[in-house]
Amino acid sequence: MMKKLSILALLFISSSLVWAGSSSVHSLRGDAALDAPAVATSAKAWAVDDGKISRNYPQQPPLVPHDIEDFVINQDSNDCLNCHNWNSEMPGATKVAVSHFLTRDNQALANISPRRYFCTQCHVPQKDAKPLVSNMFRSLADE
Amino acid sequence: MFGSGQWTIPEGYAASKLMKAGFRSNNIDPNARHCMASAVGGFMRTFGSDEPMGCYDDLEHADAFVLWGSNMAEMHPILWTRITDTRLSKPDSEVHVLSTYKHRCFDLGDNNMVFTPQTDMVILNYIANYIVQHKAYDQKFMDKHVHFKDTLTDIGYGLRPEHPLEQKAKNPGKGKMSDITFKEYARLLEPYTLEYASKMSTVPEAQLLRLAKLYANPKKKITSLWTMGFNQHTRGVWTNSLLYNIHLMMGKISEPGNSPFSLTGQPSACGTAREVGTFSHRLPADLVVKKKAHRDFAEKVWKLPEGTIPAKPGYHAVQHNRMLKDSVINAYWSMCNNNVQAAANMNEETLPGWRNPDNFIVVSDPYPTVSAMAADLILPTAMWVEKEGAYGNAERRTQAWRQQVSAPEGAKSDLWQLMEFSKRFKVKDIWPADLIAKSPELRNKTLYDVLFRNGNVDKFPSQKITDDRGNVYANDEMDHFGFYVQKGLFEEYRRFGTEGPKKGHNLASWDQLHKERGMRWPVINGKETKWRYREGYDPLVPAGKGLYFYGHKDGKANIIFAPYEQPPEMPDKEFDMWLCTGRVIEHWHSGSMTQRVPELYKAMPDAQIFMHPEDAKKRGFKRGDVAKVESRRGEITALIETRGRNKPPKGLIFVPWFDARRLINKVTLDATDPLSKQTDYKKCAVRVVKV
Repeated sequence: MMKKLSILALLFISSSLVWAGSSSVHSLRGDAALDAPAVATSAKAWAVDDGKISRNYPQQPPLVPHDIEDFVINQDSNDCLNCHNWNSEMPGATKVAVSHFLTRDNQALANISPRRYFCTQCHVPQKDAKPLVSNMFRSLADE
Repeated sequence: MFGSGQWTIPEGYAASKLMKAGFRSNNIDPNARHCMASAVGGFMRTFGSDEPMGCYDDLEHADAFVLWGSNMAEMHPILWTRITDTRLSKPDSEVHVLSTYKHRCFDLGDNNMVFTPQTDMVILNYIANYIVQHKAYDQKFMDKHVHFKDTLTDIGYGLRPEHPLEQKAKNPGKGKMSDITFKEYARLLEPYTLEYASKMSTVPEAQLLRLAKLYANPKKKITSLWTMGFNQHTRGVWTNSLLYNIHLMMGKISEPGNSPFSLTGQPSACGTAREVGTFSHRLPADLVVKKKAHRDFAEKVWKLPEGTIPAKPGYHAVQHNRMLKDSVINAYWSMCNNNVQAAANMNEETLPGWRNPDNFIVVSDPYPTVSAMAADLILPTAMWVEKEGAYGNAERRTQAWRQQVSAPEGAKSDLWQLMEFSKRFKVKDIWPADLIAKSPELRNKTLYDVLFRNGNVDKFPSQKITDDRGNVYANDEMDHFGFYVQKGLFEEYRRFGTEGPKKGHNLASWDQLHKERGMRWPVINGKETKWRYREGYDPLVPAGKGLYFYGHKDGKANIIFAPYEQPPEMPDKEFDMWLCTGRVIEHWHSGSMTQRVPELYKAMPDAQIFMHPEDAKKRGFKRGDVAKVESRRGEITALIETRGRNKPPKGLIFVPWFDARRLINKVTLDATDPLSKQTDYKKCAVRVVKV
């Protein structure tokens, strides 16, 4: 068994594949070693945007441009719908999409479909935080 | 080797075959060990066959849902929309939620119960006792379909054998069951009264009674759901069976809406980890390495000499890190997961194991993870859409897809890596002479020839891959190896289900899977099965039987009594709080992908310490302060959150594990269920102090 495993190891070593010098590997930990203490952080505020946060692609659930911390969504009430339901008078509030008034079998309903009731399943606010790493993703809006 | 349910089915199959039949080592395990091993144990002991009898259609058929240690709103969001749909549109439907802290599911709950960790066992036995005391059980069903069993107790906590708790245990690791009568079963349940259950769990009596009455009502169709609350539990296998006991006594099983439903493996892992058998003790289709008949069958399908597959189960996932630390395992290959971040007790076991200078560790991953930081070699790896493959989910559905894009230059699929690696070994260099003597023609062949050019795997030549709309897809592995690799592997693997000794694992053909939106096995004559074991739905049930649990030879399931036993580590004067870890909706597991998406990162940038406001106040913390979480094994710092989505009771904190910058598994304990070897990530003792 030991011999077999040593052969395995030797083969890996002699292969021409890339070496992982551990100092050169930057994970989401940044430069902190694995045995180093946790990376310092501080409390972040919810990002508040006067307008809407633009979408990256048409099917993206809109992000929430305001704090929703004290909002209640339970069997009795849904604070989001006060402003975002189709018949709300709140100026500037994005209306719930028509897709949200369909059942699983695509039957149209007079009110929001129960399966879409918990808004935070898909719609989230943003903290005022700088992304940990850069990203090559390009928004369709920039195309 | 350490793998995962994120291997595609052909990849997991190739990895398992390479290790068990090629290198003749059972030291291969998936990260599913951390997730669903207890569910497997429960299924095998109660039904003799892995995976649920029901399917997701139960979510529309049930009258009531009971969540036992599952935060579906965050962890199974799509399924949760279906439960929400049913609850808010079906008159008289109800949702009961049990958890050790309040979470988003409580927003839909009609009967919300926060219980003391580990006392789910007491509540389950109380409900069974209620059913017995009120003679609510379905006598005819029990007479026809169940046996009663008792199990050995005081079985330890899966810690290292020298640990005092293992030394003290009477039957460490033992799962032997013995026959009992219904009367004896009833007597064993007697201590589990409403008063006792309420006292132990701290759940008010009225709420427990409401839950018991629900289960005992023959008219209510109930779907019970659970995930890590049951499985990451030092008595997880027992606890899975305690719930089946209730459904079996009432006959509420294997029919639309009546469904004890283990949700583990929802996206992928049932297919690759459980069905393929990438566990250290398993072979495909519920076969196990320790049974000779099962090894014989595998060797026959694989065209290998008798005795190729070792009979002894290999090291399980938790044992991998311990054996790396002890220099017993020296070469280690980790694919499609991030176990340095995921495994419990990082300081005492994982890091010393991975950084042990005796060892050579390879990590295959698309991203530089925490595990990659600890590796000696990193192999750049393709993602799932960059290859053809299939997954199998929790409702037994196998789903296949075609390669959508090619991987970035230099990155190769796990399958490519495994098969190319196998070309580097000759049978004569690694197999013993007596085994080679049984098939001397294999002597000078490579493992690639023996395992993958065996007339099965290379049976299907390269072809143009198209769908019925005329779209053409690439298949980089087919181009490289010169045959339709994924189809050949799957079709060889499929024989375990159609010809193997364990009934009921029939999968659809590779070609059919590409035409359908997934199919639920057993697939017989091209048709899927929604409810197993039930005549009219499952063609494998003999005519006239009605219901037949064919996982066991006599068609009966086991009602298995198990008592409450306390967890290995509980809060005390020095470490005065429970720590529970888990996930959040924004980040998948260790966040190696999701934390790179700016929108998801900004929605949940830091792992926080979710804490009761009075606990925070008592320790002098305000919301947003940095605090230190300390256990006997390690410490991290994080921000205090007293008003977040998770609201723990006094005495418990929840800290998610996605955040690579604060590794909560430095703090957790690597105690496991001694039967399933699955870690209990939900319970250990910590204190929260100023930095």
